Amino acid sequence: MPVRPGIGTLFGALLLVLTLSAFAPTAMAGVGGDDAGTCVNACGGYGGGNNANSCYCDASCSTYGDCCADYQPVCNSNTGCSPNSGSRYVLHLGGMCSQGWNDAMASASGYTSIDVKAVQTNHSGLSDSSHALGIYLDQCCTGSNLCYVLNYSGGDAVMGHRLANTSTSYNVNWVGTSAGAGGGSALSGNFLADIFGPCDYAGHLGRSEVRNAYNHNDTNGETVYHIGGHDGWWYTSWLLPGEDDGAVAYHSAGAVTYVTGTSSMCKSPKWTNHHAAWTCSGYNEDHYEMKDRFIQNMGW
Amino acid sequence: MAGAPDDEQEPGTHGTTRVRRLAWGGTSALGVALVVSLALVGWGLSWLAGRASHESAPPTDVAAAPPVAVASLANADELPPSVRRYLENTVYPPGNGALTEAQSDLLRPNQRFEDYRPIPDTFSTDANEIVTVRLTCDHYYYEGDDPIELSLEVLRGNTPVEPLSLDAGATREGRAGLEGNRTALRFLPSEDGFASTLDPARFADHHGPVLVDARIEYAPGAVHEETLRLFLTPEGKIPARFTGEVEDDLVNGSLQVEIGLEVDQPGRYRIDANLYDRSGAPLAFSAFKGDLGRGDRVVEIEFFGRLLRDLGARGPFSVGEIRGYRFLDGDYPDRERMADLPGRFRTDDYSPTAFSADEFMDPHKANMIELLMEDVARGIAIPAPPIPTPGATDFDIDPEGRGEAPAAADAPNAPSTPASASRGRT
Repeated sequence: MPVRPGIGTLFGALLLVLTLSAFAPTAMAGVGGDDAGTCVNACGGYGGGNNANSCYCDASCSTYGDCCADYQPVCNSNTGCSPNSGSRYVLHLGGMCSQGWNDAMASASGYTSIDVKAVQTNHSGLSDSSHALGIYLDQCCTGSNLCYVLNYSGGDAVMGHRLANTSTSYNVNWVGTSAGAGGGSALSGNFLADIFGPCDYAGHLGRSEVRNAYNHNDTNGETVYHIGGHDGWWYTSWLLPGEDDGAVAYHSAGAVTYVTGTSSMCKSPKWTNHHAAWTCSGYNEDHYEMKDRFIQNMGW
Repeated sequence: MAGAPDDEQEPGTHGTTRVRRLAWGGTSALGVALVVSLALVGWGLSWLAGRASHESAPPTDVAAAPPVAVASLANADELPPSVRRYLENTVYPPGNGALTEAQSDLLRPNQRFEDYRPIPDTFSTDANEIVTVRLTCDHYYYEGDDPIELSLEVLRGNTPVEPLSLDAGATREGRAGLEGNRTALRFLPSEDGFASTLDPARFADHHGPVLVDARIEYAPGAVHEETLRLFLTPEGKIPARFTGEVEDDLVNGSLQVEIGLEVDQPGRYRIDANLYDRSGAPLAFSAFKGDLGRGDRVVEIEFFGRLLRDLGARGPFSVGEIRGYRFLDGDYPDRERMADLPGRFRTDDYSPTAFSADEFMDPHKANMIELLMEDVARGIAIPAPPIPTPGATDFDIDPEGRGEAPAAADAPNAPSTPASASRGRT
C-alpha cells in the first residue's frame, strides 16, 4: 500500500513541481562527473566506459596531460603509498560521479592521507572503483603498514563490495563512513543524476541493486562506523523514507539490514560489524556537508 | 586453475579433491601467541614505566614487572584502548557472524526493495489524486531458465488505475550502457495490478544487467516512465553447480560444513551459507572465499567454535541458503552466479561444549595487534569512534581528545548535533 503523504509534504511536493528546475543546485558531488573514463581493463589505450572526457591510459598520457584519473594506480601500480614500509595511511574514498576525494583530507598525526583515485562514473562504476580500491588496499594496507579508511556516499558501497569479495586481510583498523549509500537510494535513476550527476553510475545506486551487489555482513573482519545527516532537501526528501540528508536515508547511512523509515542512526538490526558512531540522532547537515564530518569529529 | 598458494589439496571422499584453507589453529596459533606475548612484554615494560612515573608511590621496579599475558579479551583491562577495541571487534573470524530473525537480507537473500513512487506531475493537496507506481519483480539475480515474474501497480490514492496505454520492454545492458534492441513485454491484468513473465530464453545470449522499462499513460496524454534493473546469468555462463553433497565435521573446535561443487570455470568463488539450530531458528552465517580449480571440488565453510559456543548452540543443526558466484574482479558484469542449492541439510549432533571457547587468532590479527601497539609506543594511536547507545545521551565531540569517549552513562549532557551552518532549507 502506498504511504499517504501529510499535508506539509504535499505542499512541498507542489512547490517541487513548480520550481524544481529553478532551485535545484548544480552537481557538486565530485569533480569530473559526466562519465569520466577509467583505466580498469583499459591500460595501454583509450579510457574505458562512457569516456566523455576523452582520457587515456597509455604511457603518453602523462606527456599530454590527458590521463584518466585512475591511470597511475591501475596501470602503474602507483598509489602514493610505500608498500610494507612501516608507514601509516588514511585512505579517502569519494562518492558517486567522482574520480577521487576532491576535498580537504584528514590531517592525522603520524599518518599520510591518500586520495583514492577510483572512478565512480560509468555503468561499471562499482566494479571499476572496487578494483582500483583493491590496488590501494594491497599497497597501502598490508605488511608493516597500517591504515584507516574514510569513505563518503557511494564510496560506502565501493568499500563494502571490495571487502565482501576479497579474502586478503588488510591492516585496516576501522572504516569511517559519512552519509553512506551502501543501502542504496530511492532517488537513483530519477533524481540522483539530476542533482549529483550527470553520470551513468547514478542510475546504479537503487536499493535493490546496491543491497544485492555484495554481502553487507561480510566486511572481511573490518569494523565500519557510520554517521548520517538529517538536513534533507524538500525536493528529494519526499522520496526518501524517514530521516535523510537529501540523497540517502538513514536506513542506508545507518547500515540497516532492510529498507525502512527511521529517525535514528542507531536503528537495528545493522549489518554485522557495522555501527553508528557518536550520535543516534545524526547531524543537522545535508549530504554535501556530511562529507567532511567524520574528519571534523576525529579532530583531523 | 590450481588452488591459491595457501590451499592444500588432499584426496577426499567420493573421489573428490578437497580444497582446504589453512586453518590457523592448534600449534600455529601457539606460535603466533608466543610472538604476540613477546611483543606485549616489550610494550608492557615501557607502559608500566610511563605509568610508574605518575604514581605518588615509589616507582615500580620496571625490570621486575611481570610480563603481560597474551593479548586477549581476558586481559583487556591491561591493554591500550585501541588494542582493546580491536580485540572486541575480532573475536570471531572474518565473515562469521550471528544470524537472527531480523536479518532478512541473509534469511531471504536476493530480495527486491522497490517502493510505491509518486509521479511528480500528479501532486495535489488531495492525496487521493496522487498517482503512485511500483514496478518490481521477484528477485534481483536470475540464473539459467529461472522465470522472471514482473509486477506493475498503478494507484491513484488507494485506487488501482488502469493505464490508458502501457508500453513495456527489456533491454540488455553492458559496460557502455544499453545494447541491442528492446524486447517488448506484455503486462496482463493480475490480482495486484499487472503482471508479466519474462522468459530468460529471450536473453540467453546475455550475461549481466537487463533494464526493464514501462511507459505508463496514466491519464490522457500523461506518460510516466519507470525502470527496473535485474541481473541474468544464462545457462552457458553458470560457472559451477552444487552437487547436493553437504557434510559436516568438527575441526579444531569449529563446525566445518563441506559443500560439493562441480566447477566448470576455475577462478575466485564466494559461497555463502546459513546455519540453523535444532529448532530451525537462525543461528549463524559464514562463507568461503577462495580460488577453485576445474572439476569436482569441496569447499569448507567454517562456523567458528567460539561463535557457536557464545550462542549456546546445540546440534543437530541445519544448513541452508547455500548460494554462490564466481567473482570477476574489475569486470562488468562482476560475477557469474550459480543456481542456489535449495533445501536444508541436517548436521550431526554436537553439544555446546564440543566447540572451542578460544577467541579467533591468526597471523594477520597478531600483526594488527603489533601494529596498533607500535602506534601506542609512538604516541599516534587513533581511538575508535564511540558507539552511542540508543536512548542514551549522545557523546560530545572532543576534537582535541585522543582517548575514547566516556561510557554513555558518564557522558556530559551535550547537544545531539554539533552546531553547523544550515542552508536554510526546510
